[in-house]
Amino acid sequence: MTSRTDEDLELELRSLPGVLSVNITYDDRSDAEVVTLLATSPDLETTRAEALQVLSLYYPSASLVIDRANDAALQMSRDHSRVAIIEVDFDQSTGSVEVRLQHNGRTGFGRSGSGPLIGGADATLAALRDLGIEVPFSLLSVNSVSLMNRWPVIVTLRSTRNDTDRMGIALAEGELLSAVKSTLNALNRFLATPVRLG
Amino acid sequence: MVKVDLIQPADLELQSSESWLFRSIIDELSRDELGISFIYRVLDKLAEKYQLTDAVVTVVQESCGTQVFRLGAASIDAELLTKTGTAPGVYCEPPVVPEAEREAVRMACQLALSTHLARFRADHDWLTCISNRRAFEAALKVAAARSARYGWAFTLVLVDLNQFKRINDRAGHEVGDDVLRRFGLALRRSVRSGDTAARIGGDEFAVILNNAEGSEASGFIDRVRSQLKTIEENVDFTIGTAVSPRDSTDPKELLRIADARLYEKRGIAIS
Repeated sequence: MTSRTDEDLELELRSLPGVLSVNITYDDRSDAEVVTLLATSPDLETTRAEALQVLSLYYPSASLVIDRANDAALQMSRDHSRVAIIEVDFDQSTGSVEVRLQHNGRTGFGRSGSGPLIGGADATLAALRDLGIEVPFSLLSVNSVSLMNRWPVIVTLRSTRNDTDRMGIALAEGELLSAVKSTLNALNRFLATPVRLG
Repeated sequence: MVKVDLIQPADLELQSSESWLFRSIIDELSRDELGISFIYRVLDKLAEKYQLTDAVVTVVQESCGTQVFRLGAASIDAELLTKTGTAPGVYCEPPVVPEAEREAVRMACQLALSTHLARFRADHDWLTCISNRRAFEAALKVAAARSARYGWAFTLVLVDLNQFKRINDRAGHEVGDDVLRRFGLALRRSVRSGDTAARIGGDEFAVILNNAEGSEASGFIDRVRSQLKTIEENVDFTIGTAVSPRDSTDPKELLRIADARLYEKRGIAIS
């Protein structure tokens, strides 16, 4: 996309209330063919009518598609402070764990070579620190406990400022994910307070 | 005499990993092209540098709200948005770009969007999105200069909405704004490529019809009336025209002549 006109079309569409994203596909003559909007507006029909008016001024024959952003995305936009798990991975040959977390649009990465349980918790703490979040805790213990034929993971963290402990418990698909979620669970109330980003 | 050496952007020794970004911004600013295209070019460069398969940047701009852009100007669906989130930042796949560089990219993209919006607003009326008075006066000067030099004809059309004050007083400013917006839309749809439609006052509009003398202007008026019907707007208007070079090649004189003819049609005497 190089034309100033097409840039202005995209800008005008993006200026419509609730529009998050614009995608324009072109035909063989470089005329816009299909314009797709992703919008959060509760009144998509009004957004559609206004977008059609704008589009008709630039490319009268182009068609318009409007997708609604789903509730999960909207929730994330409302709650910027939420830490999300992007990926967890365990390499059986090396015993190393990799964890990727996201916070406020940033991605943090942590790695540990201590197996899925201790490694999962350790890598989670490293990923949080990689995000720039201050985590004044060290890993005290990680245990998988039997509970009615299930095996939730309990993580205990010790404060580096005083000797108070925090515990988290989680039951997820596999012990690695349980360890990661349990670590976040242990820090949950702490992370709910304002975090200091680097 | 003091000698001044101009420092070229290429001479600047930017050591940080984000130096490519600053050079790109300086290049674009020097060409007055910092805008939405820049955002896509930055994502392309980032992808090339780190061998990314996907990249999404989310910025928040005061007027546009949250805006999401994807590598290759690709579409963004609700599922992807759930993955990337809608908080300001840069999402990369694989996630190998250092935090500082992602933050620099986000800020550069935010700057590009804000600059584009500022450039658009400098030339456009905020309500109708047609040219504003400043852009209109510049276009009129160019058209008049060409007309004086080469004899190229153009028609200046001034348009006043009838009874607009009454609409505002009776139905309120919100309805009045809507009428102006729809009338601006009718003008935009009626002008040809290369013509200029502008809002130059509250309910005053002006149009420059290039390569048009007399009869083309009446064709334009017919198109405006026809467009008003399609958007179901029951608004009437009065026009005054001046033709260059026949009437004058001086912008101020053309405006005065068109204005006098407009008032004449309305039956209002001017002193």
